[in-house]
Amino acid sequence: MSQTNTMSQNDMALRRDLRGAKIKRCIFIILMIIVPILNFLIFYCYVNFNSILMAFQNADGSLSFNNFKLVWDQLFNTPQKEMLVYLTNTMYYFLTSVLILLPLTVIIAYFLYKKIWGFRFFRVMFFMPSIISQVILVTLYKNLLIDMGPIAQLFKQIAGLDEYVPISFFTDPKYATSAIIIFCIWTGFGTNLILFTGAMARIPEDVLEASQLDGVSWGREIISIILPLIWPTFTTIVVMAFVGIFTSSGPIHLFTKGGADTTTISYYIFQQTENAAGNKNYAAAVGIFFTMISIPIVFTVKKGMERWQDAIEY
Amino acid sequence: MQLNTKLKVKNNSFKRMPTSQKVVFAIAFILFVCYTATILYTLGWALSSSLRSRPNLRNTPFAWPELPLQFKNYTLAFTKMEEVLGPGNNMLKLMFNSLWYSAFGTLIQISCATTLAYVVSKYKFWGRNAIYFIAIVVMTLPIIGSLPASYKLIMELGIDNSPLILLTFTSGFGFNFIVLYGFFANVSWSYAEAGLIDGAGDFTIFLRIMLPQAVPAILSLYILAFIGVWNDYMGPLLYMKDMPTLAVGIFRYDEESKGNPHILYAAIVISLIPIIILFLSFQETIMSNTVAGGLKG
Repeated sequence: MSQTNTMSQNDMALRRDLRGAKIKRCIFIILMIIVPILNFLIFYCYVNFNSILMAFQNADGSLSFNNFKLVWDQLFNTPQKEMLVYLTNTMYYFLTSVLILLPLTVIIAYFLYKKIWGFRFFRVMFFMPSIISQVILVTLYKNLLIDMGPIAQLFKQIAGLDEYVPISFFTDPKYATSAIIIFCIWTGFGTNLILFTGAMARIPEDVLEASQLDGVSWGREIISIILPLIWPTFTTIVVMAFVGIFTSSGPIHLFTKGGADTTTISYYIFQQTENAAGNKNYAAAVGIFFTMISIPIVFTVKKGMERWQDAIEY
Repeated sequence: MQLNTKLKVKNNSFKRMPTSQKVVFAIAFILFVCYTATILYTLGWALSSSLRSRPNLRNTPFAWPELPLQFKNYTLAFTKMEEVLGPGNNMLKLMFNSLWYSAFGTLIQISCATTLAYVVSKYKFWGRNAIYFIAIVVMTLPIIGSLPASYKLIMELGIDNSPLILLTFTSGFGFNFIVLYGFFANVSWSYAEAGLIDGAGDFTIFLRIMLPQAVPAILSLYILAFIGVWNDYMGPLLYMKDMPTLAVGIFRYDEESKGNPHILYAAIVISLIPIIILFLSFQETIMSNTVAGGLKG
């Protein structure tokens, strides 16, 4: 009798302990997540909700579709078609990053992975532009392209001194966007290079050794072993590139502040935000408009990439 | 074992490569050297320009620096920038602003991502799957124009031009979360279990057992994020107009003071030194695949 009594007392104490532990754990979890969750509610949910509201708002505060109509008009109807120019520029940046920068980065990563002579040094050099402020890189790059600069001198040598007319790269709409895009390629290898060299470093050594013993040629090794094994990383980066499709841009503020037809969609939004007199409601509408277009694109690409990935499963 | 080492030697030896591969590697090497030359030339030119007098720099911007080298440009950078950027905004102030903004901003950013990722990957609780789902959505939902609305909110809260702007760094989601979630998911829970049996609380387990194991991963994320925030000019340009960071200060100095390139380049070199030292001393940590390892694939 007394024995069962003590047991149930023990049981109760244990239960109390358990409940106390449960509450303690609950407090622990809440404390660990409360700040980021609040941030998410305020700076993500509230901000995006507000963004949608702003998109429908006119200057006087009334709600209408006018902002969206204006986006449409600026794309197709107005004589200048400003928004179409911004969209075209944005697409140049996007295509550059997917079709030029990404393949080049994979190629560079391959040679670094294969320990090309001096690979440690080159690795630092390719990453160098990513650690230097764009403000500084742009200042230096701009100065390299001035009339007296080495690039102009080189052109002079090639074209012959007499025929050469100095090009003002950042005020002439014919050259400005290309000049900025070349800057983006020059400085853009860093981050993805880390991801690709990381992915290649995780290829099991014995797989490569076994294939070498089997006498697999080096070209075959790239196509049949290395590429399939880094494919998941590759598709992740491609999907992320598509997530940023309409936000693709360069450091336009530092180069031209949007002059010489260099404005992109995201720079236009930045400009309207930064400028005290900018039309922020309209900028929000531009954002919502292109978000709506890019959601189906991103999900199609994601699905397609996943299917593709399954097809080449090793 | 011996066979293994032999194979590894063979793997990396240029001499043993087939000719076709040799040619390709030689071409790649030459292209790499060319690329490196453009980077080093640009940086070297900035360094040499920072040591030249104004007329010399103006007349022949790409000549060799003439002697004597103008080390006084560096003193000028500390004293003269104030004239353009407004009283009080001298080089030291810019450095100070950059330092607190990036050090604490990054610390807050990484801490929030760490605690969130740890709890979501290691504890079962109501809403856990929802948080993971949100993390994926935040990363893949292509939201484009929330900047005007964020700007409006920050102005309404009145946290611009003050250290309170660091509140915007408390987001725990994004790249850091995904990497750390992957990291903690792979860390064994058995030490923690032993700790729990010994009566250690959840905080103790997190701080004493789990966090120390994550230090290398967190450190490399911290350095990458730090470099990003240090170099960011969009945020400070919008929200810290009266407290310019180095990047913003140099940009504004370049824009507003036409005709003082010698001071500009001295300022550029000064701002480059800490970041290059930081990068070179931690490059193994940054480049190691701790960071990339967490990315699915």
